[in-house]
Amino acid sequence: MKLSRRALLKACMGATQLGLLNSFGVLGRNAFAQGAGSDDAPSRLLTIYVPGGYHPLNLFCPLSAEEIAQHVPQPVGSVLGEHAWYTSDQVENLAPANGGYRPVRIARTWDAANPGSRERVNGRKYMPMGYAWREYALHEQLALVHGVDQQTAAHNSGYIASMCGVAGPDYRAPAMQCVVANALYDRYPNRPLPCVAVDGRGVPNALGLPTRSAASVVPSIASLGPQLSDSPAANPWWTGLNDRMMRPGFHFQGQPGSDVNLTALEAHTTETARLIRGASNAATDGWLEKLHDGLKDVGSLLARDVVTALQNTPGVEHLPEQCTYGGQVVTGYERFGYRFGLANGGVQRENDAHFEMVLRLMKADLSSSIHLYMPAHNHDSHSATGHQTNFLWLRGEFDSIGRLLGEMKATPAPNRPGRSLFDDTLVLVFSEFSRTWPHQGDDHWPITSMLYAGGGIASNRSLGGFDTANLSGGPRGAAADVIEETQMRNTRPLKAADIAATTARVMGLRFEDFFIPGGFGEIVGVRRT
Amino acid sequence: MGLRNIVFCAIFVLGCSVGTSTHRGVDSAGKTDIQSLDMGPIPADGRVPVDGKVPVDGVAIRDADVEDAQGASDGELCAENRNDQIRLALAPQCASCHGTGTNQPFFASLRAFEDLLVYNPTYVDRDNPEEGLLLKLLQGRGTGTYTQMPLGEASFMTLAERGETEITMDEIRAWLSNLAPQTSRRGPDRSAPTTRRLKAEEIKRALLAQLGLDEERDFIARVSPRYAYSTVELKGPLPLYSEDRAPILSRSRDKTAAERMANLGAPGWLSGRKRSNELTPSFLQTLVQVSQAWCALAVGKGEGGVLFREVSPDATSEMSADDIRRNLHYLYLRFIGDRANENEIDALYGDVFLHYEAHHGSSTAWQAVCAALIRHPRWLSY
Repeated sequence: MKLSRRALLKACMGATQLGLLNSFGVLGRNAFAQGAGSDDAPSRLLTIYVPGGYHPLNLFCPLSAEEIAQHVPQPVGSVLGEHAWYTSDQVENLAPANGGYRPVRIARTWDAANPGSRERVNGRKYMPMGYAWREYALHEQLALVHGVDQQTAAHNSGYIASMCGVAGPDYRAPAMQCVVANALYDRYPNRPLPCVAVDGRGVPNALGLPTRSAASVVPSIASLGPQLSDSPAANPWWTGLNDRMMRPGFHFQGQPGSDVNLTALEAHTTETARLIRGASNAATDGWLEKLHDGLKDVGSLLARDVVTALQNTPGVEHLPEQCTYGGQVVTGYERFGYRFGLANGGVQRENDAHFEMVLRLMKADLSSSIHLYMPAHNHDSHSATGHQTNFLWLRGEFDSIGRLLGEMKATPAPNRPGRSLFDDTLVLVFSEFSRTWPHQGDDHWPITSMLYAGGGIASNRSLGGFDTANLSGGPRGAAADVIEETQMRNTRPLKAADIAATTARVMGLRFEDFFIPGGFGEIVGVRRT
Repeated sequence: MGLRNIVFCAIFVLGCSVGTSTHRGVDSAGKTDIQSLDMGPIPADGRVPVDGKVPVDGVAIRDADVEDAQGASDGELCAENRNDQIRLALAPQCASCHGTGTNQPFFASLRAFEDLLVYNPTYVDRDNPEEGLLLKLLQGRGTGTYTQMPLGEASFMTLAERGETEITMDEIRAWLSNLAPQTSRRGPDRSAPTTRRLKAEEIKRALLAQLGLDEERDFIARVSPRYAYSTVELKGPLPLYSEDRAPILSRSRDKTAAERMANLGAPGWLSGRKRSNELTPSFLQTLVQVSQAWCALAVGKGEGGVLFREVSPDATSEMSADDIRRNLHYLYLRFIGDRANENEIDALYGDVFLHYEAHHGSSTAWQAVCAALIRHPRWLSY
């Protein structure tokens, strides 16, 4: 039954209005509620941003054979010494279809019989980039969403759309990473860095959410020492100032709270912020409350000595130093690195440090929400060979991400017995938008694809799609099933807000736990039910 | 209260609380059916008599509106008064260019709509509405840079004639002819945020000046030939340098100085990072460290520095309590820019100075006092 004001009016005026209203789900019942951080939901979110605007079909392809013939260029030798593009006979299901949904389809550029091979056969060199998704059977928790309208073709605006669901020059809703960190805070209070950005660029914006949900920037272990350690050995200015003790904690309004481990100086500074409450207006008090809570959190964080925790936590434990597919070491590939061409191409190692930090943060169980800005390549090419180049870069980057997820799959989740780190983490991979399709130039295009993997995600599903009729620059998004915020089922093209909403729903948030201006829906089929 | 108002109340309570939509604003599918909403006579204050709020698209809504909504939220829009109804009805054509963050944010809020547009004689001539710029622009009769609104192929009037707007020109004229007196207070909003924290550059400048530090002397080790060019090496505890500041510094191997500056909210224009004046965890983590590190440097300068005007750096509370308190007053005035009351000095002296003096000596105590003043809300705010 569709929920509309007319229907509500009828319900109001009916003799059995309460019963009717209950059937709409507006009297407190929420048929889809799981509860933030419930036992069913993953306990952390990892978002991975691939900058510049990628072309999603370079690895995962939902098109028919006819569409591939029309819209994917014929295979060709690229400037980077690899072959770009594919034909329809190279596109294969990642695994058999699941639950009546289309399976994820991947464009194979490797030797099916020997996936680690870099041999040149019939003038074409095998390229294993992308095979990680097969090697680690990542389809088991994988959903691709195609045809998402970012409603903008500007970089910053598209990035913000991906982060919070609403395109614009500035955030008009908190970044979903912060929303999730805030929602999980009470369930995982011992995570001292609830929200983390592993790069200083594009840090998630918490807007008006509590300070605890805003992102801490932790680009590297080396950077963390001067920022998060109160050890005089590392930071001499703590000499004599790091004596801590448990002290009675107070909320900003004055009510007693839980005890906190603070130095005398930290206790004094938080108390100072609290004591001048009411000296100005409510907005200033809100600012003071953020300062009060933030300073208290910093003290607690320093007390936890997260630097030592991170230093003592291994990052990579399971992946071999040399990338190995199908039991064969891939020549020129490293643990996360990959190489274009053979001897004359350098190994792309830019992801190593960031991935290492992400793994340590997860394995040490320090964070509920981690945002990663992929450092290696910006896909904003705008050149005659841009699509070719990006074809390879996207495959390289996604292969590297696949290996990261492989490591997560092999690692037990901390404090969640029986689960792997992959099971316990929702992974969202996105860019700010897509690119015009290869025969249509190399420019920005707002209709794109997003990738969900890991905890709470259904197995091997390809959702949404592209309306390739009358292509002009790029496609429109095809209609897909959503549960609107009214909790009514609908079929319509997808938009950025739906991605943000679906992320929140997979993390166990209810519709009333977050707000995205302009409306939103949960994409049906992403969440494992 | 008649049946209509009872229904209004019921719809408001339920409709405006469905899902998360307690917001006002324009939903992508939001419909505001002014035409079908018979409000009756408008009170002199322009406020509608339904608990101060009215759902603008609840009753007698056109069937097409319901069916066309395609299952979206049906626009849970609650107008606060007649002006707000008009604002919401105009919004589909106007808000995308005149919303929050634009240079003419008429549609950012009801208050913005009233203050910037409705009661602004530049746009609305209350004695002769037809000659006001607002109506002229909507009709395509403007004479300035912009001759019509919205921009594009058709003016609002043309769109309205096609039935593509949610309010007709006649309804707009009727609203302007019977414009209620402005009830919202003009001028600054006393409830608006007036406190912001210092910007990163302001923090750095204030620290250097108030701590008596010198950037060249205290944070730059040498300028010497290295490779084919001169380079600057940073020194001292936790230097702060913007990544945009000087190309020569960007070649320094110490990237953490720029990271710290970014944590304090400095923009990185070359890397596309905007300024942040939020109280983020990274900001506070960095401030805590920098305040202690730079205070240690300043205290270490002893009597050659600026922190000890009223007392010797190694004076003890046992011998020189009054001098210490006088120096606390001096430091408070130096850092906060205001005179401290005795309660504040008591807290600084008792909770901070005496505590650290007893355990670690006077240098540590002065370092803690200094850091406490830098973390003081009044130091951090502007």
